[in-house]
Amino acid sequence: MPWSAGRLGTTILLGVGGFAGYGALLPWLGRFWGLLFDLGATFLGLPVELGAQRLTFPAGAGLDLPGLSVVTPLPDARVLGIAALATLGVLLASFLLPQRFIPLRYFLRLLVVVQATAILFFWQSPDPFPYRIADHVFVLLTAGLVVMGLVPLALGLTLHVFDLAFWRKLLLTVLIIAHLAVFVPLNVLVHVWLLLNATAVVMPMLFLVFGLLLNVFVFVAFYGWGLSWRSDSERQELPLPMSAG
Amino acid sequence: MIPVLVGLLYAIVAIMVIYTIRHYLFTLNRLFGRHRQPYVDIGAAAWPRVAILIPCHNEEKVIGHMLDFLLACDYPAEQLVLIPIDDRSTDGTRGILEEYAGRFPGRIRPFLRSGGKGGKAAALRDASEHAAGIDAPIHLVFDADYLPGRGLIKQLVAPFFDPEVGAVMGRVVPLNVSRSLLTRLLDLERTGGYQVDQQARMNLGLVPQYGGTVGGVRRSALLAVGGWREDTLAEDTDMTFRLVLAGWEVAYQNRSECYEEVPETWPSRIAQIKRWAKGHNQAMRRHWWALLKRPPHLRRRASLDGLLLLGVYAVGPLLMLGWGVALALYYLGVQLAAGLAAIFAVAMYSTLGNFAAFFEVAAGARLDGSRGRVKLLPFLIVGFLVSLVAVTWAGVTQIATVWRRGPRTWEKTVRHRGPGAPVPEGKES
Repeated sequence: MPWSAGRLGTTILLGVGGFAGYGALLPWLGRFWGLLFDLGATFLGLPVELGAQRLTFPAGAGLDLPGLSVVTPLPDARVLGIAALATLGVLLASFLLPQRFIPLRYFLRLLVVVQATAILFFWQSPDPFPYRIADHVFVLLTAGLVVMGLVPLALGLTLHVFDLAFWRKLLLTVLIIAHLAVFVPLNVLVHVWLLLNATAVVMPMLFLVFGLLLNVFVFVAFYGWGLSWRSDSERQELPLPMSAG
Repeated sequence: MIPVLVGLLYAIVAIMVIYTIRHYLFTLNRLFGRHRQPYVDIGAAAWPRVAILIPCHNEEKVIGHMLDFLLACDYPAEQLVLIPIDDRSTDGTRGILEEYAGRFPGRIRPFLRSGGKGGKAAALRDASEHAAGIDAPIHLVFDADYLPGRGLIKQLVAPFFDPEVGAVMGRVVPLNVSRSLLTRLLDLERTGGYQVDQQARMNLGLVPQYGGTVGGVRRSALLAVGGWREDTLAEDTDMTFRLVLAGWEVAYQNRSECYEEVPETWPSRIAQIKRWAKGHNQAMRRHWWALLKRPPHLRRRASLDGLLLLGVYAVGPLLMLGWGVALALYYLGVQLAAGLAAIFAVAMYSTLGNFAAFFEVAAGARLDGSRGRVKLLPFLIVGFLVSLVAVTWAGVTQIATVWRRGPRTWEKTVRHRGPGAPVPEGKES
C-alpha cells in the first residue's frame, strides 16, 4: 500500500492531536458523566447517594468521576440458593440449545463457570468479599476513560494508516469516543441496578465479562464499519454519472 | 500464594504480548513492506513432471469436481499424473476413481489402499512410494474438496526452479462463503491467515507454513528428510519444520489461489480445529528443541518465528489459564491493591492486545479489495470463543492421553457439496 507524507501527517495529527484533545475534554467528560449518573439513578430508581471520586493522575493532575455512596448488599443463604438454581438452569439450557447455537452454548457455560466461582466464594470463603459497589464503579469508569483515551492512538496505528478521507477518520474517532462517553456510564449504572437487586454475587461476572470487554467490542464494531468505507482513491476513481439527456 | 499467581499471570501476559506484537508487525509489513513473490512471473519454462496426490476417504461428493478441474489445468498433459489415493472408502469414491482412470488412462492412476495404517499421513507415505515409479521430481498435494484454477499447477511448480525450495504453499480461499455466519467468519480468518500472516512470513524471510493442500514438496527433499511421517495428525506442519530444519526453504505463493469448502456447521469446525491443534502440538513437541538450538543455516528471526508458529495452538490453553488466574486474583482482592497502574495496564492490554487479530483480518480483507466483509469483524469473537474452547479441550485431552498410542484413523472434515451440484459461479474450470 503506498504511503504518503499527507497520510503520515494526518495519522500523527489525528492520533496525537486526538489524544491531546481528549485530555483537554476530560473535566467536561467528568461533569457529563456526573449528569448522566444523576439522570440515570433517578430513572432507575436507585437508592444511592451521588457524589464524586477523585481520580489522581501520576503527574498530580486529577479528575472528578461520579461516585456513589451505597451499602453493598451481600448474598445470604436464600440468595445464594436462588443464584445456584439460576446458574444450574442456565447450564441445563445451554445443553438444550441446538447445534447451530454452539457459540451461545459456550458463552453461557463461560458465564456459568464465573458465576459458580462467585457462589462458591460467598458460600465458603472465610475472607470477606474485597470489593464494594463504589470500587466496582470507580474501576469500570477509570478503565472506560483509559479505553477512550486509547481510541485516537489505536486508530492512528490501525485505521488512519489506510487511504481514507481525513473527514472520515476524524468522524470515526469522534463517533467512537462519543459512543463510549455515553455507553460507559450507562453500562455502569445498569451494573449498579443489578448489584442492588441481585447482590454482590453477580459482581465478578459483571466485572469480568460485561465490563471492559464490552468497551473493546464497541471499538471493534466501529472499526469494522469504518474500514468498510471506500478509500479516498476508490472514491476519486468512480465513473461520472451518465447524463440523463 | 498471591506472588506466585501474579508472577504466573505476568508470564502469560508476556507471552500474549509477544504474539500481539507479532500480529502487528505482520500486518504492518503486509500493508507497507516490500511484497516478496519472486516466482510469480514464471509463465513459460521446461515444466518438470509432476505427480498430484489427492488423499481420499469417502469423498464421492467432491472428488469428481476435483479431477475435472485438474484435468482442465494448462499444465502440459504429458508431464502431469494425477494419483487419487483411495484409503478404504465405504462410499462410491473408488468407483468414481476407476471410472475416471478408464476414461483418462495414464493421466489418472488411482492408488487404492486396503490395508496398512489409516489416515492421510499414512496414505501419503504409501502413495509417495508408489509414485516413485512415475519419476516425478515434484509432488503436489490437494485435498479432495478443492477446485484448482487453470493456471494453478504451473504457479505452484514455478518456485521449484529455485533449487533451495523444498516445499511450496498456495493460498486457500473458501468457496462456500455465503452459506452461513460460520463460513463468512472462516473466510475472514483465512484472509488474515494467508493474505497477511503467510505473506508477511514470506516477505520477512521467516517460516511460511506448508499447509498440506494447495502445495507440494520436492521429492528429493521429501526423501532427504525421511518421507511423510505416519504417526502425525498434521503431516503438513511436521513436514514444514523437518524441511526448514534440514535447510530447505518453504515458499508461499499468495496469488496461487485455490478454492476449498470450509465447514458449514459448528461441530464440523470444532472437529477440524481440534485435529489441527493436536497435530500442531505434536509437531511442537517434536521440533521445539531443534528450533531453539537453531541449526547454523537458520536465521535467528526464522527460528524465533518458527517457535511462535509451533506454539500457536498452545496459546488457547494458556489464555484460559490466564483467565483462571485473573479470576483467582480478583477474589483475593489483588485488583484494588495493585491500584491505578494495574487498571491502566489491563485496559491497555485488553484494547490493543485483543485488537491485534482484528486488525490483521481487517487489513487482509482490505488488501483483497473486499471491504464490505469487514463489517462482520465484531462477530469474529464468536469464532474465537469456539476455537478457544475447542483448542483448549484438544490440548487438555492430548496431555491426558499422552501415553495412549492408538491406531491413526481418518479425521476428516464433513463435505457439504453434492456430486451433481453445480460448480459455483466464477470457479468454472
